[in-house]
Amino acid sequence: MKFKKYASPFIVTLLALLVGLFYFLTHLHYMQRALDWDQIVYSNNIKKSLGNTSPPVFNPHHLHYEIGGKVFHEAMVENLGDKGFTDLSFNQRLRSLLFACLGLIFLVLFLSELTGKWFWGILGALLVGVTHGYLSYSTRVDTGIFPSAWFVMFLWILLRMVKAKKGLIYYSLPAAIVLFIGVMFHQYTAFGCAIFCLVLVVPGKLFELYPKPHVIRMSKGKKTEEQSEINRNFQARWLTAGVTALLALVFIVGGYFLVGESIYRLPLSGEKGNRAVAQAPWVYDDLTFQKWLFHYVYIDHGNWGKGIEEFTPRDAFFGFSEAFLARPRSEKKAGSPLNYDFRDFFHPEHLTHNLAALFSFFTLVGSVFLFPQLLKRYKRIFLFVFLSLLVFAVFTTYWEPYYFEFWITPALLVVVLFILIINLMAEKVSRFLGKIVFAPAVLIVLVFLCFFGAHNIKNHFPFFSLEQKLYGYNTAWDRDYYMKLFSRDIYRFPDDPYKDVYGHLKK
Amino acid sequence: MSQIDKPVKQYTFFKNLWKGIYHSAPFEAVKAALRLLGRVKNNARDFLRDTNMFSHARKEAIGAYLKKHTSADPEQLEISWQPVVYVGIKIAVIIGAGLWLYSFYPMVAEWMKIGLDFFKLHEIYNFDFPSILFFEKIASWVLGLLIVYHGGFILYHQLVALFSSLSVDPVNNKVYYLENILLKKDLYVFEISEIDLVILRQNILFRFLGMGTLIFQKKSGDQVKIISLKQANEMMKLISRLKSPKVSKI
Repeated sequence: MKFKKYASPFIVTLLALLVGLFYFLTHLHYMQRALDWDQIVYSNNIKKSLGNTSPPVFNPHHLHYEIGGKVFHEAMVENLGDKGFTDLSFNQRLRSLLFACLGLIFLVLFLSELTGKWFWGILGALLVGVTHGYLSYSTRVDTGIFPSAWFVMFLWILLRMVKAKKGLIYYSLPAAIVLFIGVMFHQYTAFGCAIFCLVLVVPGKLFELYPKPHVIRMSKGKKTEEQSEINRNFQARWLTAGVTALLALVFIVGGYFLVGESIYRLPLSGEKGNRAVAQAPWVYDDLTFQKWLFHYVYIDHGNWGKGIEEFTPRDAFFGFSEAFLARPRSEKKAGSPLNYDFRDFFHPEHLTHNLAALFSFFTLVGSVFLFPQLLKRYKRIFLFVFLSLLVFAVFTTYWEPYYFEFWITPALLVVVLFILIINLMAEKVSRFLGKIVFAPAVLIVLVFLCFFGAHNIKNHFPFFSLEQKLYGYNTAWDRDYYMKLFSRDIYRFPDDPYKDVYGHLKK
Repeated sequence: MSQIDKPVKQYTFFKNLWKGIYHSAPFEAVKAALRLLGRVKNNARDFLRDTNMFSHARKEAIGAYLKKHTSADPEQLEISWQPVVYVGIKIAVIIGAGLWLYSFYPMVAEWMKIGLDFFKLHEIYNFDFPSILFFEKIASWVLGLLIVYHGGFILYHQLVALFSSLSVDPVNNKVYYLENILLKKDLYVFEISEIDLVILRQNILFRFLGMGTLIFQKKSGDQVKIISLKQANEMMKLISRLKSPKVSKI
């Protein structure tokens, strides 16, 4: 009998692991050493909970972060402490990096399987890896990378469900666990969960737009592909979506109640909480459960959630641009991410920014003009990517448009969409011109990859890795509060770690 | 009183006693064990017959199997398979190539060492650069896993080829493909009248050896490809004769 196509899953997994390893080692070489406001606060929160002297901080926005950091640090000290992994900040950066690598590994698997071409997986993952948001948050003591990297798991598990020929219902539990972990990583992933369940119940006929008047089937020796259960079986589709949603909801509610009620003992009623009863850190101990759960919404002194009332397109454009490209920096001053100039497209100072604009514009226009074709080719996956991009972009514009932290996930989705569009176009054209058309398509992605990568490596790594730096912090803080957080023990030369590698670069 | 109504003296006690013993649990268990033993014996016989690579014995085994499961007459069947020597050569080449590739692991280890050295982590952190033994261990595992995965897959298909066969039944106008991997057998039956197109593929070496690959294209568009058959010419000749409208049967 005919040989099956056997090698691809193993080879693609190996390639994905290699991409992850490459990203891990590159970041380990240029490990960030800078600290900002958030990183200092998070590090100190974890540090305080280490000795079990104060109640652990469970920030409702990202419930896992501090407690996960504590567990990770303790595990590292326990198992690799004798190898020098005793540094809190370094271990937290390592934790972020491991998650970033996990996201990229699954992105290779996802894109390779969806497009059927391994090179799109690798190029797409590398392109995501070099975007400034992903690159920067990969080694920060911050929460940004976790929901973004985990969102790839949403895509991957959805692809598994879409491809399932039978037993769709059994995917409910793993899918619910993935959704639950996503919400624990950041509350705003709940939007992704809702879209996930919505996409599951959409009828399969939706994707058969513009049926042709006649179809000539030439199976050419291939067996006619059996329809997947999600398109075939109405009951299975609804049941799976329902069970997934229900289980995820139970896990999420359970998680929040475990912390809010069992650990913090926050009251459910009353204008304010009962400080005498609560066993929470002082920032939360006068809150009710509900106010703790939506803490940031109630804070009136924050800058969050004003993107609609005080909407300025420049802010959103600024944050989105910075998620792709780092601010151009020189010795004296930091530049702006809005360094576009289309009148002089190829000017070295503006070329990368212009290319980033072209990249986003191409994706936007492509997804609008090729919407029916994309829907037909990628079906539920495209719908999920498109809706998620839309919802996350709107939410980020509302929540924190001027800063790139919340733009990491939309930027990741833009890259995924770009790969899907360019693959579709190459597939369409290859019918007339042959498979050779994939070569220019790959070349186009390589150009973007090289320009974005070179720009971000040049403008990000030297300024955050080579020097021990403090920025955007509260000057009223006690010096000891942040100075002790700088990693020292792990380095051979703590004051100048790159002395042997690049010589004396400083100052 | 008629003869029918006359009560017949029956030794019901002994009969019931025997029935009781016969249907008792220990007796049932012994019977089940004997049945199982019989089945095992038959399967073992079939298994040994299947593994017999001598042409005559193998033909007999395939004929017996097809007779048991289809209406084929073993005397009339034309049976063919991949030559045993050819499969043996392939297996030897695969194992040899695997071992040869595995012997490259010190070189791969060296590349890994150069790769890690490129990142200069030992110059930045308080790490000791791992010794070559560490890289050799990783390289041997990675290469070993790769070779076992791919080698295992290819070897599995060689085993399938070794025991599988193609038979043409000129009486019933059918083609049987028996996929046999000893622990499981799949029998595919095709109507010759449903086959639209038959392709015989031979390279120059196969033409000398009389071997070839047969491809059947069915009307449904499905294709069945049976590679490297011996006596492929004869099979082709027979199938084309059966396809001919003048001679539908021999």
